[in-house]
Amino acid sequence: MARPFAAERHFSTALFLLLLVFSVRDAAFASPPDLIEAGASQNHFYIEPSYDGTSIALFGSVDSDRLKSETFDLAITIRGPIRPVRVWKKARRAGLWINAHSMTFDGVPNYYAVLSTGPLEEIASLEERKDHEIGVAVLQFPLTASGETKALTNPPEEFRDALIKLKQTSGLFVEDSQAAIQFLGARLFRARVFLPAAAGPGLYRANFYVLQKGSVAGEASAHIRLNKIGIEARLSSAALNHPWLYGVLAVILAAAVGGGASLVFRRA
Amino acid sequence: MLVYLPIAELPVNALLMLALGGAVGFLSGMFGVGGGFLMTPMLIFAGVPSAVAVATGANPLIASSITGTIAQYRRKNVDVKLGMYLLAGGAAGALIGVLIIRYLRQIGQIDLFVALLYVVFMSSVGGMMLVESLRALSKVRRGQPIPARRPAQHNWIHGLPFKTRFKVSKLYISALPPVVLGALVGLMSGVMGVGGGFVMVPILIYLLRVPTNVAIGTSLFQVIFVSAITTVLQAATNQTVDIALALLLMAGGVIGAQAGAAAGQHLRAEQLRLLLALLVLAVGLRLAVGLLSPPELFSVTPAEA
Repeated sequence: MARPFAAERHFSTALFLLLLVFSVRDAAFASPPDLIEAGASQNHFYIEPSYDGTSIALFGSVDSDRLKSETFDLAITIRGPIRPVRVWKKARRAGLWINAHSMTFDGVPNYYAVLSTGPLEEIASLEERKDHEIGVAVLQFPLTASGETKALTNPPEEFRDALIKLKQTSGLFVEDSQAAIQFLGARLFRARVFLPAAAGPGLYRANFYVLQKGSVAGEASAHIRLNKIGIEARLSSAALNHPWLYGVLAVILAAAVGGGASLVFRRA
Repeated sequence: MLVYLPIAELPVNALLMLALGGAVGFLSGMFGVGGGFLMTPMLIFAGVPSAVAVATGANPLIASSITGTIAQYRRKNVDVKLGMYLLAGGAAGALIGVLIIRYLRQIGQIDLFVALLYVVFMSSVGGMMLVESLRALSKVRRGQPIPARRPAQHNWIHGLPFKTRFKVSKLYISALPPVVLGALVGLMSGVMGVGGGFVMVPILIYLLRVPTNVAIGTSLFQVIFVSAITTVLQAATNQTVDIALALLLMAGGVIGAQAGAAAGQHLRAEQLRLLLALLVLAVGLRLAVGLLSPPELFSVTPAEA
């Protein structure tokens, strides 16, 4: 009788030690529950022939009990797909306006939106806005070394500002501090952002910020992917991966339409 | 009705594209020019990126020029031999044109170059046709007869070697001018996404003395092949041919071509040339205005990483 009892005791000691190790590890390594938890209602969106932009629902909750004061603000940035772009400036040469200077910027989101519960200047300090790139005005794009001409006479700011202005004009850089974010009770919020069709397929990232007294108290992020599917995906992959075949297909299709039309209209 | 274009990565209004294709097809049927010189600028104006507009512009021309050529062939207006000589130069020209456009895009001067080409070609060709057709019309008004075929005056073209007989065109001239002309038009096709009929037809008529109806039929014939070559080369080198866009334009184009051909039969040849001259001049002037006073100083293009 003694031996099995001893074995049982050894077993429970081992179990106890194991549990102890786990709980110590948890206390030491796990961060406290996030102040803000957020995500998108869908992480994948698809481009079909009838695609004309899509509405993305974002939602989350703020653990307001842990905030020092009752009031807080929210800002959400959505950006993607990141691509290098070249900005050209025209100059008059021999009476004609031609592209004379250019600068290439890396890491420019084709689409960028900020949603907030109040005017950005009031809810976040300039430093925080710059650090987290909250707001169209504080966006910075790294310059690439190649493709710059006469950088001294044409400061990068001029090109950066022009890029932002063009993006804003085409509705690809947007700010909304009015009604984009709604609270459902004290903790839950939801937001809606419309991704225009010109934003294009690729990877998007949504960053959520809890702001108090002008600084970021907590943050969360989510990824959203927009892909072509069906015929859209097949055509664009054929154009990229089998360009010669794709070209021949384009010619055959056109010849068939032209020849077919001749037959139809001759009979008629 | 919106349709998302897979290559342009934009939705376009399908009805607008059908109408644009139809309008260009109408011109094609009426004047015997492909109408690409209107297609490409209008696509850009409709918001299609210029790389896609130039590369896709030639594709629907294949359909409308096949329909046009079949109709003209039945009326015995296609000089196949002359067309082959034009084509020999055209294939080489198209290849060089597609390579040029690639280089121009890299140095950011594509819009300028294309606009300059349009302005130079359109104002000179349009001006020439305008003067000629007005002169012809005033002769008609004064009751003078118009010769169906221009008198076979001898110019420097007739002094060139390698003479050959073009039966349908009733010509005995050197083979060099058609090959050079073909190369020039092929080059334009590659660079501008046009068939080049608006340059080809007047040169055939005024310089080579080809009868007007044969010039139209033969130009259409060679446009089939030049635009086919251009389409394949654009797809292979720039990967910006949008088949979905081309299909919309073609569908409108083949219908427009029939209407245009029917309308063309009710108009006199001089009147047709006057209308075409005015159209060519108008597009040329519009583009010249853009070069002299740009609406926006800055522009953005994709950059290679």
